[in-house]
Amino acid sequence: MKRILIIEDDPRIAAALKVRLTARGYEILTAGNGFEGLKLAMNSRPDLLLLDIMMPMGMGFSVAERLKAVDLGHIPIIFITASKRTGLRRTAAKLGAAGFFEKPYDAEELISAIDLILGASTAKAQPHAPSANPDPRSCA
Amino acid sequence: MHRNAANQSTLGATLALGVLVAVGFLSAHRLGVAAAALCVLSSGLVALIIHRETRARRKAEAELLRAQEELEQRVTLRTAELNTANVALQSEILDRQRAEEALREAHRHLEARVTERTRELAGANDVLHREIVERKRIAEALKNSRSLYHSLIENLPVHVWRTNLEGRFIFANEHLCDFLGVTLEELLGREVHDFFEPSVALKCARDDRFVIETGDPLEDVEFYAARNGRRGHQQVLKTALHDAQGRVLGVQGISWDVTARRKAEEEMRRIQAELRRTNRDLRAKNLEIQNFYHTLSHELKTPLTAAREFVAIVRDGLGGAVTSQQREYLGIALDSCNQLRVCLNDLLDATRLETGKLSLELRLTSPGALAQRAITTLQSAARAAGQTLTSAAAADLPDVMLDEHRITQVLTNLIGNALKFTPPGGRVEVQLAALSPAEVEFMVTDNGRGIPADQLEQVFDRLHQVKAGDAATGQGIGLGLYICRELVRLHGGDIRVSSEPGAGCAFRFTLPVTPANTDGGVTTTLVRRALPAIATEEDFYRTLEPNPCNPAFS
Repeated sequence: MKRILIIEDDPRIAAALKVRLTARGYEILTAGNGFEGLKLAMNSRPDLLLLDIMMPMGMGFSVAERLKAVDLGHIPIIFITASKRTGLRRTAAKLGAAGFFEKPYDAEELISAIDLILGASTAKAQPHAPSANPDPRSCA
Repeated sequence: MHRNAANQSTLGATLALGVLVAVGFLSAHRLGVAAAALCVLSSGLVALIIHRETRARRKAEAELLRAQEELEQRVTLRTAELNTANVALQSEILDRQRAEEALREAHRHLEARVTERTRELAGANDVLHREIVERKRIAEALKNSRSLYHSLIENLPVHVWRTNLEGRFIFANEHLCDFLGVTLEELLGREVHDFFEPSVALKCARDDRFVIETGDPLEDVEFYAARNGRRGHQQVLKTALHDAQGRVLGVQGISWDVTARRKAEEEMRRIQAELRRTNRDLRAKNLEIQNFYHTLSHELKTPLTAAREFVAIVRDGLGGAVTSQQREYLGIALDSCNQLRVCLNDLLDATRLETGKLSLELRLTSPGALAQRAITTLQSAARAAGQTLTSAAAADLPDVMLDEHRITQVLTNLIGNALKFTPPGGRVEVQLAALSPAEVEFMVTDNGRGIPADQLEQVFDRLHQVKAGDAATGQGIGLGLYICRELVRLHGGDIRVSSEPGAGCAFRFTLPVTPANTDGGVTTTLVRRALPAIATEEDFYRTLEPNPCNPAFS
């Protein structure tokens, strides 16, 4: 089972994501701030990170940088933010983000993106079990 | 006569001789000898007479010859004399002729001189005349000039005066006299001190001294207080007065009242300060509002996201079984959440466009692929509304430098609108074409109800839909097309609409392949010029006003 770490300071959003993604068959871990999230990521080695950008105790971007510094830069990260501040998308891209979603996000699109990323890596690990839905656009 | 006398005496002598001879013979031969002697006497007498006749004739002939010669000589002489006289006469005539010629020449010369002199005199007369005219003109000009100076000095609303080295007035214009309430006669010879308060007069004297000593002009704005009670501020210009040798004679001054101007300036300064204060307040307020926006953005979106997510989760049965009626109700709740989401995003985008806070992240993108993704996303909605959504892209479309997120937003908005305004069974089509190697056009057409001609101009205006009071459109607050236009313009493109009421409408927007102000790099950020803060605030509040037509805010 693929493991997703949700680092999100709003517990309601975290909870909603957890319900969705659990129902989708993923194992979900949650952290309420950047520091907690970084600790959890290092300990639990998740397959994907859903990372809020605007958080207390460490912005999402600094978490991503720290992960790279501790050799966890290979973990794909999808950033989620409520901010429309200029340049966030670009910064995320520079950090090698696997996705970028603005709140209120479209849950179906988000799940499609996650499926694609994890399905692709699943496909690499298990070539005989291809993802049922490799193209997120067809899910829209 | 002499010659005749000589001839008669010769003849007498011959006769006497004959007689003597005859007497002698008579005496000798008495009668026969007397007769022969008489014959010989008579023949000798005849011979004597003949001889004497011949001699006389010869004598006469000689005398005639002589006389003739003499005559000839005299004629010759006379002729010579005549010739001489003639030559003299001719010479005299010649001399006279010459003299006459000389006289005529002299006359001619004189006449020429007279003519010339006359001409000279006429010329001199002309010059004199011109001089007189010129002098008249100069006199006139001088008069005008004096009149001008007089007029200037007397009519300009300025005080003009001159004081001598002792500080006594030697000239003043009428304005100054009027101002001081005296006549010129009363003023002349008196001092500034006589008319102004001591402190003012003291300053004036100090200034005069400066001008006299340095020869430099002086300019100042000073307070004045006349003894007649007049007070205010005046601008003063003082210069030194010189005589022809350059000696300083005194001071010439000009002044005019600037009390009103100073008041106006003070008022202006006050207003400026007030404006600065207001501006500062507005900036602070603007910043406050922007911060409020950030908070609003976060604080509205986070709970909305949670609400929407949990409604969706419950509806999708992830929280347990739901009845069909519950699912329907939850569907309505979810739609409302989605509508709120659109409103919120539009509101934030519009505000960011207004404040210049929205920037693009340009990347070289395939417009065809972009359009296809947008259509795919909306396909289910089109199907749900019973409409056909198709696309057609030209094969040779170049990649375009664009912000994929924003252009997708524009296209989604246009397609969404088309679906919204087209009744079930309608057809929405997206077409892409390269207008030129440097420009790509996107076109969204529908066969819906179209837009009335009188509204075509305004559809891109902010809040157009709200203004039109059109509540039937379902969702949005009328910012969608405004945002589309601004985003397209931000890309350096343009958007326009054409419509046949009842037959549908066509929205077209163009994008330059490479925006003019980028260097063609992979990612470029365009920042829009910030608009005046005041407009933004005002508009911002207007946007926030609840509108009864719009369920989103009711």
